[in-house]
Formats: sequence, C-alpha cells, structure tokens
Amino acid sequence: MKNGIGFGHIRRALLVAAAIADAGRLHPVVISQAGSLALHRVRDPRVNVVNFPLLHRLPSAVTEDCYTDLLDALLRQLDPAVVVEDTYPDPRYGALPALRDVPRLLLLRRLDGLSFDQIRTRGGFARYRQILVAQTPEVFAGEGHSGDSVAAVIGSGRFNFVGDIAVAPAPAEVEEARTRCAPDGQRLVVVAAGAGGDQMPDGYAERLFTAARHVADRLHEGHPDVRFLLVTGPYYAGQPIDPARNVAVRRFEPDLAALFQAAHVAVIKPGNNSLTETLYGLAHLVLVPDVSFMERVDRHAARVATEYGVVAQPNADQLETHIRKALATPARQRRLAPNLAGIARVVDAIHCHAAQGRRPAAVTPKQLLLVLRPPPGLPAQLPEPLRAAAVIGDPSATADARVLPLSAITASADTLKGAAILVDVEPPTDMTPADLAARGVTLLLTQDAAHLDVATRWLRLNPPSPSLLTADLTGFHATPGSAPMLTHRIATLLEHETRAGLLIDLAHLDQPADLTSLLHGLAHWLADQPLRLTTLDDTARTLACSLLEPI
Amino acid sequence: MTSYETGADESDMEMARTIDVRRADKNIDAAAAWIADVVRCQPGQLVDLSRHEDGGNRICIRIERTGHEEVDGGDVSG
Repeated sequence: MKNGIGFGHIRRALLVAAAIADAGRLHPVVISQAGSLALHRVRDPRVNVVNFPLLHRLPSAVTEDCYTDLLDALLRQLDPAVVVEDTYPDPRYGALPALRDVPRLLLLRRLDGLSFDQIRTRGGFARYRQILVAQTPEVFAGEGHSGDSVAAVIGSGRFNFVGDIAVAPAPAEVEEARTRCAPDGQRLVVVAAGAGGDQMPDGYAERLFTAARHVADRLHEGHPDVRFLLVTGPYYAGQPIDPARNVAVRRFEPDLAALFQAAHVAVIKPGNNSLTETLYGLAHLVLVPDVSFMERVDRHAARVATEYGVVAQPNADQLETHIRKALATPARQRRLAPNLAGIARVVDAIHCHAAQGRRPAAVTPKQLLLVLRPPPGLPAQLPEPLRAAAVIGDPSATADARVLPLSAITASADTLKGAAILVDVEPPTDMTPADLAARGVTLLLTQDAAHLDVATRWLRLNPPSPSLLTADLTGFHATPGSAPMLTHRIATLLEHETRAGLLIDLAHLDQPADLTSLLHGLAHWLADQPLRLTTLDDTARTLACSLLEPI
Repeated sequence: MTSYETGADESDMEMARTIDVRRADKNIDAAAAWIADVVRCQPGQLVDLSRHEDGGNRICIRIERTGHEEVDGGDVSG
C-alpha cells in the first residue's frame, strides 16, 4: 500500500510486488495513490493494481470518507495475509478496521531526523511488526537522528536495514536504451525530476527543465555529439518544453534506470529511486535538490555529492558550468554496488510475517526484572525460578547478564558491551553517558526516585546517542523472615502493571539459613505466580519499544 | 477498458450510476466485491478509482479497469 505518489514510491512497490510474484507463494496486489497511470506502465504483468486518488488532497471530507470506506471494504474482501505499507506511516491506513488483525510491515524510505522523531513520538511506528529501512545502517546514522530514535531503531528489534530497493538494468537493456535515444552514437545528457510534480508552488520542475533546455541551446554549436533527453514526468505542469535537434522531451520513460546508466551526464532531482539507479552507473551526477517533504533532500544531496557528484541550483548558468565540465571529462570512476540482497530481504520478511499471522498467538505473562545485591555467601546456583535474576557484580554472569554498579566503573576504553549499569552514586564528573554508550552500555538501572532523578539529570545534561535506556527498580531490604513481605511487595508492584523491576538487597542476611529460607520461599512462591522473570536484554528491548509508543 | 460507477445494482455491475451517500454502505460493499473479484481472478489488471465527481451528498467514483498492455502515458484527472 502506497502513501506516496512519486515515481520512486510506485517503482519501489512494483519491484517488491514483482519479486513476490516470482516467489510464487503469495499473490501481490499494489494499492496506490498515483495521479497518473503512466507510473504503472512498468509493472509486472502478474501484478494487479488498485489505484486510488491521493487521499489527502480530496476536495471534501465526504469524498474522503467515501474513499476510505471503499478502501476498507476492499481490504475486507481481499483479506490480505500481510500488508506492506511504503514510505512512511499513513494515518488513514492506520485506522482501517479491516487491517486490525493483519500483520503489517513498513518499508521505510529515508526520513530526516525531525520527521522521524515526530512520527515516532506520535506512535506512528508502533503498529508495525517489522520496519524495513531502505538504507544501510551507515547512511541512516548520517541523517542526524535523535538519541531516542537511534536507541529505538537499534534496541527494539523491530527495525531491519535492507538497503536500497532498486534494480540495476542488464547491459543489453542499457545498450538498447542508448541506441534508442542516441541513434547516432551521441553522448546523452539525461534530465529527470522523478514524476515531475512540485512539492511547493515554486515551479521547481519548470525551472529545472527550462534551464536544461537553455543549456542544450548553448551547447548545440560546440557539442554536436551531445543529445539531451528531458524526462519531465507525468505530473509536470509547467510550460511546455520544446524539442529540438539535440533535445528530446518525454513525459514518461519506462526505461529510465537503463537511461541513467547509458547517460554521460545525469541531471536529477535526488530522490530515492532515481538517485540510487544513477549511482549504479557511471554517469556524471548533477544533483538539483527540490524542496522536499520529510526528507531534507538538500542535505542528502550534499552528502552524496561529497563522493559522487555536484549539487546545483535549477538555473541555466550553474547547470551549463557543471554539464560542460562533465562533458570534458571521462565517465565517473566510482559506482555504487547494486544491493542485490535488498529486495530478497523484503520478500523474506513478507513471507515470514504472512506465515506467522496465521498462527495462534499467546498472551504474555507479567514480567519482573529481579536484581539481587548479594551477601558474601550467595549460592553459586540459585533455586530454579530465580536463575534468571541478575546478580550485581556476579563474575560468573555472561556479558549480557552483568549488572555493574556505577561506583565500580572507572574511566577507560574497556568494553562494557551488554552490561547494565546500576546508578548507585552520583556520576563522576569525568564520565558522561556518551562514554558509557561508546563502551557498549545500553541500559541503566536506578533504585528508587532519588537515583532516578540523579540519572535523569545526568542524561539530560549529556544526552548520548543512542540514548541510554533507563529502568527504575523498587528497592527491598531483606531481613530474616521477610519472605512474606517480599512476595507482598512483588504482588503490589504488579497488581496494575504488566512489568516491574525489583532490587532485593540481601547483603544483610549474614546467616546462611536466613538466606536459604528467603531464597527458597521466594522461589516457591514465584513458581505459582502468573509471571516470569525477565532478562536485562528483554528489559532493554521493552524500553526501546516503548520509545515507539505515543508520548 | 471497462468502466462502471459505484452505486450500480449488484445484478448489473457494469451499469453506470452514481453513489448515494445515504445508502453508501451497500454500494461500497458491492463495488469492493467487484474490484476484489477482478484482483483475484484477472492477473495484470489495473483498477483505477481516481476519477470522481463530488455532488454534495452524491459522490460518484468512476471505476475503470484496464489490462496490462492498455495503460497509456496520459494523465487521468483526480
């Protein structure tokens, strides 16, 4: 299901749908909101499309309701095994009753940091079982996301990076496109702006194509071996661009990916799809960013240009300079390796969730994170239900089950990966949360409100990225014969909550019999309760998932 | 290219009529069933719902069906 109308949006959906059809296990249906059916010309003949108008631009609320009802009724009829939404969450799809029990995936295109935060804090990502990010982790990290967003992406277990979703055309397709568009062997300058629509009423597309047309005039005399191909896109609404002997103008070009590879110079709006497909080839790249919706194309263009090309404004003088320079030099040397595994990863995820969606689910019992401050004689092996408890400073604990007191941490570069840090003192001035994050710590534990306040202030003064997740533990001071009070405390904590954390201080149980009595009493009681002890890993994952819930 | 408009009787889905929002539920369900049938049974079909006329309390959504080879490069209104 698409919520974008652009060339890249539709192309990504059609590529995934064709791959699903290839696999043969599911019947793909694309539901789009395209303003021109031309964008569907490149679809696989096995793929069905139901095209709606752009739902947020309908002329009246009654019309929108009518379309929303029709979409809901259609989805009820189709009864999908899995729904893949594309680009970013659309609230219209979020509220559809027909999808309430259907597994949903999101194939997420690049978002700028602010937009990602806004969607996340409004709970926009929460409804998806899996979010497939069409970027590499490195490129995602370069977008400037907030610490909370990075922590949610890394720690929730719901995000997977699949890389670019694009195809590299076969050499024969490239050659065919070159021969068709430059039959006399001319070098091609391809100018494209996605589907050609304007994000803002600033005439971007008209300025770009008019400028490119002027450049073609200026180069006509001195460069008879150069041919311009202007692909305006089906949404182009500017003044008509006249063709000339050295200029062809097309509203739509189904083999655009091949043309980008056949070109000597590609002048493009650096959206997602066109840019990736151009980077797979060796054309000189002139990036002309438009005002963008939620993706800061200008910043992205600047980042890409440091490795692959130049950024220009849509005016003739700038374009002429860059195109002349590109024509005077051999083809670009570096190309982006095609991400052959990207679509396969998406298809695997779709198959996986389609299968899971038909299996019965189980209700999760209440969860307790139990942390023990040990006495000198704590048994090496705790009674069975307590073995999932974390023991502070336990040298035998695995890396991901370690709880270390902050008071025992010294400034160094030693890894603390997987360990949880208990804030038991005011943090030292020479240590910041970023230091701990850099050493691999993801989880802070605090005991009662005083330590929580200290930790919160420390984190706010020095916010790390990714954010450190914080779990607050209720403290219990164990004394001889206190097992009944302890169980009462746990029952109270979980009476209205599904999760809780408890730190039991056993340090003052210096008689082995008292310690044994308390541990066995607790273990016996826990075995009969509708709860399970949760691990530090699970706690961190739960906290990261909570960053996807609406604030 | 085949087309009809929502609001048609279930017995004659190809007949063009307008949808009356006061009895929209029935019309919408019938239209959805017809579209779903196309999607399930006829590979490569493109069902376009983007054209509509808003007449106040009467909304007409035009449903156009076309095969894979028939999509041209022209725009549709919507």
